[in-house]
Amino acid sequence: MKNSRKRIKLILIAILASAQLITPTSNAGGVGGTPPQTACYIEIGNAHLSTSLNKNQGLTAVKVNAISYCNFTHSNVELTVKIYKVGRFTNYLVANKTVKSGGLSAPGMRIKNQVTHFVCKNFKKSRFFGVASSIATINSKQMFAPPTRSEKIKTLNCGN
Amino acid sequence: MESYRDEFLTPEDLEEERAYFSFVGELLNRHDSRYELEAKELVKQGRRFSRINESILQFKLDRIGCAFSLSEDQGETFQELSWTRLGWRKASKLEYLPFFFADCEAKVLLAK
Repeated sequence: MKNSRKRIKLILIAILASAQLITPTSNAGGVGGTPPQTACYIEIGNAHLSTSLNKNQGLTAVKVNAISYCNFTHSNVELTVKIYKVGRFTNYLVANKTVKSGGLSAPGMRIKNQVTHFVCKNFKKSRFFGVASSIATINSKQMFAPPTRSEKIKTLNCGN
Repeated sequence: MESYRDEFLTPEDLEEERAYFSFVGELLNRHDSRYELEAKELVKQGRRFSRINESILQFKLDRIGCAFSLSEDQGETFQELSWTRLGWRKASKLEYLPFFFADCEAKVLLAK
């Protein structure tokens, strides 16, 4: 009896976990940024229409910025930002970009990824969010910062 | 367009961003016809290589987008650094590939 209850609990947890993964508003990890009490963390902004791309190129593009911080001396940082469009049944990746910082980075140094964008093909309203993750070498060990999602899903006049 | 600013970005960060996209624009203006030719070639062949100094750039098309990978060891290994959705249509790919090329080349040139 006890065993079957445990099994039901486990199945329920598995169902809830998979539902979290497929729902359009699912969270890949922390939201907005992991709290800064950890030694290394990521901050990610909300999706927005880029003013610099619009001014420079006359392009309408969705952009998501992220920054990674580490309180240790670290090296070989790779900060990846992915931009997703919310679909009816699932989320669609529309752009991803990795920024690399080779060599040693001093404690507290910010590694920025301000260049991940998706050029809009039309002005159809769509919903977007970003997910950032990073890898760095600390004390000769490769450490992964878990994926962190934008705090809000933003509706923007940008279709594909 | 409504201006948006992430709280964690400093005015220097924003200036750096403006300089980056301005450089992308410069490359696009300077190499517009080359990028257009290369876009046609890529759509036809599905994959294209180019070289900037010691770095080898690889562009690979899939049904809906284009991936950019970089090799720093004479083509032994490639690391994918970027992917963007371009759409299903050939015309859409041809239209947006030049900007993608300029963006990727800018990244490599500024890293040097």
